[in-house]
This record gives sequence, structure tokens and C-alpha cells, in this order.
Amino acid sequence: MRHFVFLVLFFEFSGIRAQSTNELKVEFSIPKIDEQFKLEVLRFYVTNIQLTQYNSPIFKEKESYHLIDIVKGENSFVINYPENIQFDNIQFDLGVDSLTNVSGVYSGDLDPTKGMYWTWQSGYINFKIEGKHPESNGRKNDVQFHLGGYLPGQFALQPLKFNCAPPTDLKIQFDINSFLESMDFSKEHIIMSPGEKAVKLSQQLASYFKFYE
Amino acid sequence: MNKHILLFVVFIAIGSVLCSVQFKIDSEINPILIPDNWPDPVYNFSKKPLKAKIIEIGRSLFYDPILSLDNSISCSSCHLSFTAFTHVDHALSHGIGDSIGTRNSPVLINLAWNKYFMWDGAINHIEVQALAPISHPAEMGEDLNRVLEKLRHSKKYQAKFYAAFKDSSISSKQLLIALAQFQLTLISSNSKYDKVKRKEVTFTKQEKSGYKLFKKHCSSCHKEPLFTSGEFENNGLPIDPTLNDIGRGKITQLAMDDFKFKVPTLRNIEFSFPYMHDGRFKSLSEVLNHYTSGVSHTANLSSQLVYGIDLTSNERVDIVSFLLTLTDKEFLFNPDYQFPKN
Repeated sequence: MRHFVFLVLFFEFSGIRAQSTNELKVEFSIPKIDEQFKLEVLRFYVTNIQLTQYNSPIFKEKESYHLIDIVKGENSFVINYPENIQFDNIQFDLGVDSLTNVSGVYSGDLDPTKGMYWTWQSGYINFKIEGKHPESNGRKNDVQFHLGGYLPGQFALQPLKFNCAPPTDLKIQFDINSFLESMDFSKEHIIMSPGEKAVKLSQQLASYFKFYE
Repeated sequence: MNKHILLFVVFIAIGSVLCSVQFKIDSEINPILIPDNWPDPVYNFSKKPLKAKIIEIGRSLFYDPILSLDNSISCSSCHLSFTAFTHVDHALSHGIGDSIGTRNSPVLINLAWNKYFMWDGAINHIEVQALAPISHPAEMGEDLNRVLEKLRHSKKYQAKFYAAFKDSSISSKQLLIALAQFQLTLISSNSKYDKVKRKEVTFTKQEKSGYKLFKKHCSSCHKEPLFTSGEFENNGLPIDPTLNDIGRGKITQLAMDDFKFKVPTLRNIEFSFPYMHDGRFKSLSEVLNHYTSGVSHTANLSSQLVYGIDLTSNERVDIVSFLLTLTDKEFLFNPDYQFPKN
């Protein structure tokens, strides 16, 4: 009896309650970069995570906003989902949804001090990549892409979907080398505001997110 | 005793007539009164209630140059309470190191009803508005993280944030909410116009004539009771080639929005000169002359101005006399809005 009480107390205090959860670790990485490009910043938002089974949503993560910072090594997060569910896919958005973009100030990963919020114009930067490339015509060969936008015609958020078989961790690679190959930095080295160019490049970048064993 | 109860009942009755909705702030400070017949505010007060101690932080910050790079410029440098929270006599706003911006600083009046902020509506929510002037190189030129560092080193702000949030770590969210809450209290609803509407006073003959003309020629954009539709319009200002400002079009990147600027409120207009987004007009008569004979037919000209506004010189004088009834001395000299004593 005494043991049982201890056990209950243990579960109570350790947070392991009757409804227990499983963990799914989602990790992002990049391959070794082509030497020409010196990467300085690679940061993006992964939001609105859903687990689906036969294309219907089974679980939606609450407060689902994760800032990934590859250069700083902040490249993974854990999703806690109910133990008793089955799913075959994970889907999420690359970027921040429109409603959040118009609803004032947030803390946590959405804190404007994270360098992912425009100041001169309201809105989140969904994807930020900065570095130096010898072909760039920018000052000191700078390459700067700050991609975002939530207004009609400027909507840059990109939905992504991957097969996901638990309990294996989900590893996703951003194939930065394919991105670098696709770019002509002598023509395009800077995008710093929402618009047609940002939308196009966001679509392009989303296609380089790949399942990684 | 009975007399007291009667007085109380009368007091409550008067109170309920004067204000239909009342958003209570923690006490300590005057509550915000939303006058009868006003539309619902855009800001969601029930979800994000105002708190006296948070407003107090916002007020301190509003008057504190600590927000700027060289500790020289505060919000109030360009938004002075006595002049409807704008920078009187300055066509374009000033920033650190004598830098000059490209727009006239707008009044800060009834912001709880604003859907968009800035002349081009670049900012979509009052809580994130302050990020723009803090970081703009021709305004405060400061980095948000450095502002937070400075505040965290200040005993005064540590204590104030602790009192308001039970947390002295000072986050950007707390900082921005505080600035927003103070500015949300800046409500002007006690002008002569308002008192006439409440049947407390009456217009003079000239003001009455001006009001009639105003309703005929101006109120479709400067809509009562806020005296703005909150929308963007091209009011036919000839383009200033030194600025080449396309306004709203820069934000939406839609050609149909080029040369449109936010319709400003006309409340307290007597004190908010110079006028227009670039402060090109020094007086109200210059403004009226523009609408009667100066409108330039640039792209996207407001449909109300295509055929011009025809006003005799007497009618213009009458309109100006009406516009002066939008002056709200209780707003302009409200001690709760001024430089804080502590």
C-alpha cells in the first residue's frame, strides 16, 4: 500500500499522468556546403505541426511555433503526442500564419528580439539566409534573403509534408547545395521585403527540404 | 441617509447615460470611457485588459530617451501631449543626430480604433508599432535587445516591471505591451463637437454652417465620430519630387494603392499643424485651398475629389470654425498623459 502511494506521488510529481505521451524528435540539418558559399545565418520557422493518418489530422500541436537556427545548432524540437494514436505523416508550415502576423506581440520563439520580425513593416520573416558568395554583387559579396509576407499576393508561407513512421526520429535535411546551384547571385543577392520575388524564392526553398536517413 | 442613496442613484444614472461601455483599469487611474454611439474599438480590451501599473510603465517609457541609440530621443520628442501628440511646426520628423525622416509625425488620438498605423499602414497592430521608430535609423536608431539591456540595468524599471508583471526580467513583449497600453489611453472625446452631440452646449451659427458643409464635402473620408474612415486615399497632393513617396502602394505593392495615405483624424486639428503626410501645409486655410483648387489628378485619386470641392471663401471660413470645435482641451491638458513625476 505504501509503495502504491509512493508510486502515485511519483507519477503526480514527475508529470507522468494517466494520459501519457510519446515523443517525436524532429531534427533539421544541412549537408556540407559547397566551399564557395560562406553561410552566416540560416534560420526559419516551423509551425502548425500536425500528425495525420490517411490524410486526415490526428493530432495538432498547441502553440506550434518553432524557430530553427542551423548555424547556432538550435536545430531540433520534440513533439509530445498522445500515446494511443497512429499516424503515417507529419505536416507543418515553413513560416508564420497570417493570423499570428496581425495579432500583436508574442514571446518565446516568436519574440521580436529573435531577429525574425520586420520592424519597418509588421510581419514575420519566415526564412532568413545570409552569407557571402564570390559571385554576389552585394557589398562585401553579401547574400541576404529575408523571406516572408502574409498579405494577399505576398503570402510566402510554405506547407510541407513528410512520411513519418514512429518511433523513429524525423530527420529533415535542407539541401542547401541544390539551392546554391539554382541561384545566380550576380543577378539576385538580396531580398529583404515581402513580394513576388520573396514568394517565388520561398516556394523554391521549400522544395529543397528533404527526408534524411 | 436616504438623501445619500438618492444621490448615489442619480450619480449612477448620469454615469450610465454618459458612457455605454467602460473598460476598467485596475482602479488607481481614470477608466477609459467609450462614449455612446462610437463604434467598437479595434483593440480587443476584453482579451487584453489595461492595467494601471502597465500603463504607468508605458507612460515612463514614452517620455524616456532610453529607447534611442544615444539616449537623446523619446517618443514624446515627436509626439507632444499639448499638441495632440504630434510635432508642431515640423514638416518632417526628427531623429537621432539631427537626422530627418520622410513623413510628418502623426497625432496619437483614439488609437484603440486604428486598424493600421503609420501613414502607409505599414504597421498592423499597436503592440508592434513601437518597433518601427525604435529601430529606424532616422528616428531612435536603436536595437531592441540593447533597449532591453538598458532597462534591465535600471533600478527604476526593474521595480516598475516587477510591480506590473511580478517579474523583473523585462521582456520585449512586456515593453511593447506597456507602450501600447499607455497609448491606448489617449482618448479624445470631450471637444465642443462631442459636447454638442451630447446636448450639453450648442454650436454658434457659423460652426453650425461649417458642420453642415463638413458633412456635405468632407465626412465621407473624415467620418464621424472618429473623423477618419481609417482607410487609405489619394487626396490629390502634387507629388513632391524630393520624396517621391508612393505611400500605401509601397506596402501592398499594388498599383491601385500608389499615392494613397491613411486618412488622418481631424480631432484636435487646431494643434496638429503642419498638415498632410509630409507636413506641406502650415494652416487650415492652405488645406482648404488645396481641396478647392489644388487637387492634382494623379493615379488613384479619391473618387470624392475627381470633380473638386467648390467652396466660397465664406464657406471655407465656416468649415474652419467647425474644425476648431474638434479641439479637446481636456485631452490636450490631461495630466495623466503628461511627463510622469516618478
